[in-house]
Amino acid sequence: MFSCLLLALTGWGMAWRLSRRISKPESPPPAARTRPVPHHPPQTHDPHQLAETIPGMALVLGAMGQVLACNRAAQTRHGDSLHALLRHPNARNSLHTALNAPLMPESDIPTACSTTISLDVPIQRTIRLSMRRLPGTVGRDSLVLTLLDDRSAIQAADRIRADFVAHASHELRTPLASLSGFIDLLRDGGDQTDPASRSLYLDIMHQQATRMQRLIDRLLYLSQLELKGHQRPREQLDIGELFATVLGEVMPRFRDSSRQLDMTHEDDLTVLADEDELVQVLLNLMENAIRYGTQPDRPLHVRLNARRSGLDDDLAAGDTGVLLSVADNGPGIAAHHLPRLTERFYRITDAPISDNTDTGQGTGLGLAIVRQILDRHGGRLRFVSTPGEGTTCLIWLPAAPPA
Amino acid sequence: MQQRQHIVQRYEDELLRLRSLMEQMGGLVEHQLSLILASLAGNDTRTALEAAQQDSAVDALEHEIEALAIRLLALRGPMAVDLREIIACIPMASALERMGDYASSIARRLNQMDQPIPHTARTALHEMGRLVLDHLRRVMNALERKDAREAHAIWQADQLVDQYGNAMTGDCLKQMTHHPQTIRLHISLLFIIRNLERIGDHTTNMAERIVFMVTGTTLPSARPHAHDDGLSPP
Repeated sequence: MFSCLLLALTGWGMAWRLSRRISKPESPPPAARTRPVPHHPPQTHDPHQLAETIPGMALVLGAMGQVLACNRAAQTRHGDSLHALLRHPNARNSLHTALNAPLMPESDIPTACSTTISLDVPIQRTIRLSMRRLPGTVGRDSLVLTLLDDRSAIQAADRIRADFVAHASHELRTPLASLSGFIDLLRDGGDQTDPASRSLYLDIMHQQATRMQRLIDRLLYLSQLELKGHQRPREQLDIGELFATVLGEVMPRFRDSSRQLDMTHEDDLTVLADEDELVQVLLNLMENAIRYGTQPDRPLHVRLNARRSGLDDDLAAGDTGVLLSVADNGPGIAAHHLPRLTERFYRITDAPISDNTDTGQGTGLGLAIVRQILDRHGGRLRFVSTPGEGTTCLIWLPAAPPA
Repeated sequence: MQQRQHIVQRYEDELLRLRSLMEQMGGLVEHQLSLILASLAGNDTRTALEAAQQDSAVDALEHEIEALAIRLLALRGPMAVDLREIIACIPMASALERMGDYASSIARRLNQMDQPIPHTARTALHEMGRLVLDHLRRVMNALERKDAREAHAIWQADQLVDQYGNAMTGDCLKQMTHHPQTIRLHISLLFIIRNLERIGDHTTNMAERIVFMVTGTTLPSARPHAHDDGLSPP
C-alpha cells in the first residue's frame, strides 16, 4: 500500500517535471520555489503542437510577450509583421490583461480578451488579436494562446471608399469647372456663337470629359488594387512571357521610326506575381517614357531589361530576386522630383510635356498605380535620372521560391 | 547547484525583460507615428493629440530600460554579445525617446495649424511619414532578430528619407516665394519635415547600435547623405 503510494507520487512528480520541460524547452528545470498547485493538476502544453493544432492563425506567447510558437498559417500570412503586431501598445495591454485574467465563473479557465490593431506599413492591415492564458500556467511560466484574425478586407473597403471620394472630389473639380464654363458660354451665346468658336468649345469640352473619364477609371482601378493589397500574389510568372505580352501591347506605339524599343532578359526568371498587374506596371512606365521622354531633336530609345539581382545591386539589399528596368533617353527628371514621383496626383510642373496627340495629359495616377502593385508584390521601386541623358526606373521583385 | 541555476534563471529573465521593454518602447513610438499618419490622412487633429499624449509613457520606458540595463551590468557581469546587447540598449532607448519627442512635436504642431494643410502637401507628408515609419519598423524587426545585414540596409536607406525631405523643403520654399500669405503655414510644414528627417536619423543611430551589438564592429561615422549628390542610388 505504502509503496504503491510512493510509486504514484514519484510517477506524478516525473510527469510534472516532464511537462515543465516540454513547455519551456530552453530553460533549466524550475527552481525550488515553483511547486504544483494542489487541485490544479499540471497539464502538458507543448506550445508548438498546440499552435499547430489550431485551425487558423495562432501563436503561443510567454509571460514577457516572447513568441514561443507560431503556427504555419500565422507565419505565412503575417510572418513579416508579427513582431510589429505584438509590440503594438494594444497588444501589450491585451497581453497584460490576459496574464492577470481571473478565471471564468465555475471553471478553471481564465477569461479571454481581444483587441484590434491597424498597421500602416509595409501595407495597411487590420488584425484582431484574441488572447487567453492557458489553464494551469501561472506567473513567469504563463503561456498565452493568441489567435489572429485578419480584418484587413473590411477595414480596407471603408478606407478606400473615403479615399476615393476625397480624391475624386478634389481632382474632378478642375475639369468639371472648365466643362461648366464652356456650357455656360454656349448657353449664354445662344445662336449668336459663331460656328468656329462653337466647335472649339465642343472640342475642349470633349477633352475635359475624356479626362474625367480616364481619371475615374484610374481611380477605380487603384481602389480595386487597394482592396486586395493585403494579399500577396502566389502564381508563378515567367518574365519571358511577361515581356512577350507587353511587347504585343506596345508594338503599335513603336512603329514610328522616331521611337525604338529594346527588350532583353535572362532566361528562366520567375517571380510570384499577378500577370495582368505586372503588365500594367510595365505599360505605365513605358507610357511615361513616351510621354515625358520624347524630344523633338532625337529619336526616343526605350530599353526594357530583366536579370537576376546581384550582391552589388543596392535595391536588392542582398536578397535574391529579379531586377527589371525601364530606361529612356529623354530629358531626365530633376533630382528633387524623384522621391515624390509615386505620390497620387504629383505632377512635375516645370517639365515641358511633349505634345503627343496619342498620349494627352497624364492623370497623375500612373506611378501611384505602379507603386501600389509593387507593394502588393513585396517589390521595391526606384528612379534614377541624369538630366539630359534619361531616366531609368528600377524594379526589384523577390524571387519565387523553387517549385 | 540549484542556487546557481536560480541565478542563471534570474539573469535570463531580466534579459528577456529588457528585450521586452525595448519592444514595447519601439511599439509605442511606431504607434505615435501611426496616429500622425492617420491624422494626416483623415485631416483629423484629435488623433494627432492622442500621439502627443503618449510622450510620458515613452519617457518612463526609457528610464526603466536604463535602470534595468545598469542593474544587469552591475549585478550580473554579462559578457560578449550579452554585454554588447545590454550596453546598446541604453543609447537605443534614448534614440527612441528622441523619436517619441519629435513625434509629439509634430502632433502638437498639426493640432495647432491655423490654416488647413493643402491636399498635395498632406499627401506628401503622409508619404514621407510612411517611409520613416517603415524604416522604424524594419529597425525594430532587425533588433528583434539580431539581423546586422538588415540594420545595415536601413542605415543606408535613410538617405531616401533625406531626399524626400529635401524635395519637400524645396517645394515649401517655392510656395513661400509665390504665395507670401501662406508663409506661416509653410514654416510649420518645414518644422514637420525637419522632425520627420530627425526621426529617420535616429533610426540610423539604432541601426548602427544593432550592427555593433551583433558583430562587435562599428559602422563608419559618415553615413551616405542625400545632399552629397541627389542622383546616385544609396
